[in-house]
Amino acid sequence: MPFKRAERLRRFEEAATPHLADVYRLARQMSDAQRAPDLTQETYLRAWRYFDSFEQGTNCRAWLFRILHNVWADHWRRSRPEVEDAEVFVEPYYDWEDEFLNEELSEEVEVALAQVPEVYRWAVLLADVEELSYREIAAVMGCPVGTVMSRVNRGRRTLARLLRPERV
Amino acid sequence: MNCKEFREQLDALVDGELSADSEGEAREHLKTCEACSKLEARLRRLRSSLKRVVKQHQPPPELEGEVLRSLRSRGHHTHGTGVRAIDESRRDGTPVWRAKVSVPLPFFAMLLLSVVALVGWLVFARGPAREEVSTSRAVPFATPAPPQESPGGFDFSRYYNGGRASVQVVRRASLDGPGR
Repeated sequence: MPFKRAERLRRFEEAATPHLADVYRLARQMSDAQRAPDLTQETYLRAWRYFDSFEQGTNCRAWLFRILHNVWADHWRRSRPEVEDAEVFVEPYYDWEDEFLNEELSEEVEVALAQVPEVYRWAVLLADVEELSYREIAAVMGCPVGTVMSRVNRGRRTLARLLRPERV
Repeated sequence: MNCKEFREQLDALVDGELSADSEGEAREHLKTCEACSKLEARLRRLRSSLKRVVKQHQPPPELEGEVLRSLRSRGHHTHGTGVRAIDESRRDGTPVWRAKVSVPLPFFAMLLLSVVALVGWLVFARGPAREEVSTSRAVPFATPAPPQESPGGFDFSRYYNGGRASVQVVRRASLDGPGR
């Protein structure tokens, strides 16, 4: 039995530890610098508890993000997710949105990102920073793929709107 | 593909989610439309800028060690104990009485042991002592002293009531204790 546990622990550490920094960074963007270590640790403890449900060979990073999303929803989410339209809607980008990001804007981007509604921020971070597929994002956020497309679109357009005043 | 169609598919294009055919059409449009080409380049720049901004933050150096330690000593929680849960609930603005409180296993075991010890003491330590008092003083119950006529001619029998008298005897007997 102790050997079995040690082997399980070894497999878990091998699969999950390399993604610790990614989990921390995502937790930090979805909460703050003080709470991110707690969210990360709780994510790993929960992942360890449910490690048997992890399918070997699948994307461990996406699996950890899914657990982080659940931990975050239990401990941090400030409000219930807003009710979205049943109809999935992707709006085209408009000309006035051409204005955003003519040059590098690190600080402004981070400030603007913090103002993007949480549900869109998750989608944008998972798509742009973590480069997950829409299908993987849907699994992390527990929603249909069509809703992911809508959230990514709205998140980016919100970000573009927030950054635009800086450019004018 | 016109500009409106292209801009509706722009997210899927930069995320690599378009089918090969649709992506081919979108790339053809980019060759002919400067405005859409500029917009696509800016969206890609937003992506790389976001990535750089997020990745600039490094986790605290001690975090990995802490996580591994708590995993190895698992399943003992280092987080989610009662105090922390209440602290969290305060921070979250949820009422304290709705906080999810989990008691660490050793503490719970000690609490359980204390309760068992207390119950055991009540049953075994106190039980027989009470019995002893009542049995040793069983005689006055069974044969209450008959009312005596006082030398002064006062008739106690008027005030004698078997039930009450026996209660007084028991009370006095328990006050006197078995030693006397």
